[in-house]
Amino acid sequence: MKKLLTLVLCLIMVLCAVLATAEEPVTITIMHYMGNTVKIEAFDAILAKYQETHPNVTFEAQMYSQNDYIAQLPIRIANGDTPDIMMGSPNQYSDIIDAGKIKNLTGHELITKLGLAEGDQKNCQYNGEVYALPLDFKTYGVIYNKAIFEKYGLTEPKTQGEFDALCKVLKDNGVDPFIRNNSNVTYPDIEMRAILWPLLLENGNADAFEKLMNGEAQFTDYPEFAKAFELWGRRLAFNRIDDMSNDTTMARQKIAAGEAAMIYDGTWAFAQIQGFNPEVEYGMFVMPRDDGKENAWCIQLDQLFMVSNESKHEEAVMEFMAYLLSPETAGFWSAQTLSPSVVPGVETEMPEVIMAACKGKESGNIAHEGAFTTWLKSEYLTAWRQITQTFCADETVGVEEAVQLLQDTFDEINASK
Amino acid sequence: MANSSRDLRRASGSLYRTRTMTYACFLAPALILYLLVVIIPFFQGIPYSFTNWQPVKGVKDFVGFKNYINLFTKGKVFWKSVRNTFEFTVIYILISNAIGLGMALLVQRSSRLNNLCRTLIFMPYVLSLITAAFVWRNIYSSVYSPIFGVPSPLGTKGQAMYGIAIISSWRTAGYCMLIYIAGLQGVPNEYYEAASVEGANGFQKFTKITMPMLIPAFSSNVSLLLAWGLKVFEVVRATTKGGPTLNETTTMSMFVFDNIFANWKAGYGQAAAILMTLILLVVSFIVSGFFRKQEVY
Repeated sequence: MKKLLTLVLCLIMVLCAVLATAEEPVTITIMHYMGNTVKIEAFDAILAKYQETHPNVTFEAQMYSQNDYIAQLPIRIANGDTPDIMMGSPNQYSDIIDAGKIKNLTGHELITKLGLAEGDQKNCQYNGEVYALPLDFKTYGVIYNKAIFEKYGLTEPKTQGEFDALCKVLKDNGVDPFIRNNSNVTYPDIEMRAILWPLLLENGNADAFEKLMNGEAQFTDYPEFAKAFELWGRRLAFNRIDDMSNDTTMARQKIAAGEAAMIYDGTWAFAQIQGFNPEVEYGMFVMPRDDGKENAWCIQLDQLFMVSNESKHEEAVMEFMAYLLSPETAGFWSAQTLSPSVVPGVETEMPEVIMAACKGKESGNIAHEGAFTTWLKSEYLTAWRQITQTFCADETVGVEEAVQLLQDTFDEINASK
Repeated sequence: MANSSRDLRRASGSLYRTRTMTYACFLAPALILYLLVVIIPFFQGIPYSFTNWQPVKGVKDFVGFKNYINLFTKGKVFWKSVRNTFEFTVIYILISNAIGLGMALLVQRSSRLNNLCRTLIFMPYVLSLITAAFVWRNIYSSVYSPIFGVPSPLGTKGQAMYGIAIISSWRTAGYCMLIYIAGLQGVPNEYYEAASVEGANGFQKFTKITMPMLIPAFSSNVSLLLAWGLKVFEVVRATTKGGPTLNETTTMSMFVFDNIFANWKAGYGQAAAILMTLILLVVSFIVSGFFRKQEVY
């Protein structure tokens, strides 16, 4: 009897120990807008690999286009269904942070370990506090087909004059200088930034967007807007009939097929472009200017993740974030997506296009989103994008009309508040 | 005699009550659902239109008629969206009905070939509008544009709304065709025979017999398409998102959605939604009233 009792007690103790060590099942919800298949597949692979070592964790990852994401995230939050991890730049989602929905990561080990440069640090902040963890950075510029350039004896232009001449040579030889995907409102926006951001920062107007949104300043107070429209208009003169109908993937397929010499796109696009035709060699240069100065590279952190303040399993979420930001995982991400990492210790061999972007950032001649007090957000960003798209689609809208349209629209937004 | 008449009246009254109850029972599930998902939320939404509600921030202060005043006095985009919606609806109704009626006249007689044609014409209707929009976006850019050497209408100023209306009409023309076929089959053959005896030609028969007899079908098609057209959202969202030039194709539904969800101004958006519902109600009443008066019994 005693033996039996001892056996039962031992069994109970073993069972208790097993139950104590078995981890509770955890579901981590993630919302993101990683807009291409290469990134989505790489991210899914990271999640799957994490689950191998953490079988109790399951992920619910939902992907949206960036423009839909802006609308969907607040809906979920307003419904009390805040995802555990949300992609996004804190400045863009300041309302959500003000509502106390995002975890303040100031001084957190994960962020201090990254040892970010000043611009990158500010890109993770809102009101001087850190609310996001970055994985990589992005920049945009002209990605060109090297074989086409070589065929016509062309080199990377350093000035607007050289750039205009280059486009003319291509056009005269029956080659379309550009493929565009201006049906996606993000692309007119980023092409405008190429000139606008460096000019604004050089002229000490880091608070321009904040003042324009507050109604404290007018667009005509900043001649940089007119200059950016003017130079962009010169480039838009070299157009194709599909400029306004290509979607992002179509445009990338067409540049990969050699239908045109150049595309204005970002580092985030390169893996997909190369994937469509790995035999083509590409180069990348920053958009030149007409004032004799070398233009700066526009830099933004790309994969930025905010963590919910209301997560039921914060510990598991932060453990996953630590895994994501480890050199091994960040290295895998960079190798798969060709995204330049901000995680120290990541050494991935990158193609020339990405190396050009990395060198651009290292040179310090950059216009960083984090250097602005804020970039445009919410309906101001939507209006900005719609008007830059209008500038491409409507030949009757010139520089002055575009600037006026921006002012009128911002005035209307402010009046409706 | 008097008693039997009273009994008859009583019996007929009882039968009427039983029938009414039976009808009410059949209608009840749909009515309850409609009440729960349309009527009650609509009335619940009215108070929000008098606030500056921002769900994420949890702000919900009473602002009186400010949202409505802003819409009427400073809401240029809203009124542009109203104009765009009506423009779309008119084009949509005209194209869908013209194609639907044309097809109905061509395939109204029952034969194997006609039955196959009817199925093919109706087929797009089973697709979702989003799918239709994506299919047509590719047709415009990869087929239409290279063949004719012109840009896609969806990316061309002044053409985008027509491009969108064509997509919607392609999808609904088959539905209209079915209603017209039913209408055409209900026209007694004797009318045409009598007209032939009187020496009427084909055009006269069509305008004097077919068209008037098809008024109920017109009425049904126009009323339905009017309601669908005034609420248009997904096809615009999937194609132009309001572009290609500033708010060129922004519709009322999009304006409401953008303000409530994307711009986080739920109070303002709700006021626009209330106005939109009122506009929809008034226009629907006027149009269906007009067609009811034209109907031939």
